[in-house]
Amino acid sequence: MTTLHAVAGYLPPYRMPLDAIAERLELSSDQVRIFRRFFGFREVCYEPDGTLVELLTAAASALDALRDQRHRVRYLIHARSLPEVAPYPINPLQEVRELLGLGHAQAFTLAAHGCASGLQAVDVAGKLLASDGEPDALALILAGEKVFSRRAQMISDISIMGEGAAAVLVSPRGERDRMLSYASETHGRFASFWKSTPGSFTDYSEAYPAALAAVMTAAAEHAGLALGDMAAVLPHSVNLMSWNRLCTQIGFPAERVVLDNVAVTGHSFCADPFINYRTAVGDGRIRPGDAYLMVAAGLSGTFSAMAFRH
Amino acid sequence: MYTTLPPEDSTAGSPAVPGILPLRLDSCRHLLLPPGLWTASEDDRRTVTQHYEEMSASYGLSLPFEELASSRRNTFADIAAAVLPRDTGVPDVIMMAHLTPDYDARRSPTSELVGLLGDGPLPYRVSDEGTVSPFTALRLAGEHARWDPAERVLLLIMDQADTRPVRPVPATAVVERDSVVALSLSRSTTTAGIPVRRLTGVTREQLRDALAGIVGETLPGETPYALVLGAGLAGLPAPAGARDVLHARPGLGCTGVWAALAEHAPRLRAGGHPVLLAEYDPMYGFLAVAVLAAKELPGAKPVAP
Repeated sequence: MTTLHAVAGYLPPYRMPLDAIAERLELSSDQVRIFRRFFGFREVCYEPDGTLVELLTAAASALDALRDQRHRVRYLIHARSLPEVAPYPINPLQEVRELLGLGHAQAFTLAAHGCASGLQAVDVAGKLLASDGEPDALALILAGEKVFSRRAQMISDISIMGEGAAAVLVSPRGERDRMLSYASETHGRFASFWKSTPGSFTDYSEAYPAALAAVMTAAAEHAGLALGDMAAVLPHSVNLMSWNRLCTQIGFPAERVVLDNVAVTGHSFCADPFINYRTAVGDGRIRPGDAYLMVAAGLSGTFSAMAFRH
Repeated sequence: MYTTLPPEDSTAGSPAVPGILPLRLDSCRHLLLPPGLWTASEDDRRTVTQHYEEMSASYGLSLPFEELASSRRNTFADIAAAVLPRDTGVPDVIMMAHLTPDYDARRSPTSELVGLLGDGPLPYRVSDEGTVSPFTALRLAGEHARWDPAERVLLLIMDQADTRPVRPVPATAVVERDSVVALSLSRSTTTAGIPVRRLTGVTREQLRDALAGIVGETLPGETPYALVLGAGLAGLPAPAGARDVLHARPGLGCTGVWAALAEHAPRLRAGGHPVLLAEYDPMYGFLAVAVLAAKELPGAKPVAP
């Protein structure tokens, strides 16, 4: 069994308004208009003086369930979009391990799936815990990154990154938020997305809806459900327009996709589905017994969906 | 597309022995690469340089990109392509583990591999665990063999020489050659898989006893074994029972102990004893071991008459 024992989102108190981002990135007025009007961005989480260690520690500290349960944590996994977040050998994850009092835990980073690495971390954490056979053991997944560069601030004219973070405790038992299935596909032709290869972004944009719909459908079907059975989709907060278009194409009600945070957090690397989980549970969009999907796409060409029952 | 169910719904039917991965080694290969040439268009070069210089600045380091990574290097995508077995089938899982960074965020080496292999495999990239990352990658591969119908795994362990530390590091964290080890593994249908163990918080003073303890747990009884010691364990006396002791070459990062395995595979196979690989990361106090069966190691190539 793989369950989400507890999920916390952490949004740094500071926000960078879209106009300030536009100035930093030297965006044209047309680009700003598209980001605001069509993509739905207003501001993003951004703490200029904060460090990655502080961000991840704050996310973990937002998990009430962790406070007196640290001894149960066997694995600490940083689910990451960017392959490098510090100059070698600076290692924020191992600093966080010490700061959280998790010196006994095994800590490592997973980064092959870009912004979809969080879902991979949930899957493999559940497998690790099941193999260990200790029913009380937990895995702590941290998601969240710093927007340390201009390149990291914006994804090819479609999304603006923010510094929201999340902490997730995975358990091998329990009834709350049971994982039902996971589907993931990596399209190798998008491996070099950052390259200024002519046409690469156009190709990606054209492949994106079908690729995302394929993993969403596969995850639902492997859970013995249909997409329409999902009470909510907790997405990567890439932008409003791409999700609305996808919903139209696949006939899924757009109001069930939790997009509330796009305007105020930006796209928070691997943390979005978990931040959106807190929103959906908080306002009752996910109720006990409901099935729902977490969905994410990564710049590595990876598309992933994971089905749960709340 | 990779699909999976939670462990309780698994139909993989692999033998579940705690601490033993249901995998067997099919082949292992080590390559040292000559210095490469990092290439990028002017536009990409400017973007990548700025990206990593801004990353360093966020840590209070004002460094030109050339101080982080020279242009005489092979990136991980280059290294992976160089070692990719051409004559084997498509793996279900690709694991990549490394100590040093890549500093070329334009390219996803794992996704490039997936593309080369026909878009089927599930890729992993495991890092930030010092020189023991490959042991974790092996463990994760074993979990997919245990709980999924994953039949074949390609584990690539690699490091780059010309990504330079920005602060002093132990000798074990200095990489002097671009090095890669490719391990092809398949699902074991018997209980005789690959035992793995790992300890945290091991100080240099505790290391001798810790190694003896973890060896005793992993190879119970008086089993004689061959021992391959990583660079982090250099100078440490071998625990009791080790019949053949090999030392990894220094300067190969997290690939060292695995490179020694690949280079001495015929000798280890001929010895007939289980082969225990051990590595210690002094920066973090991590100690890890894995045991491979001698009969699974490649033997000496036949000599032409």
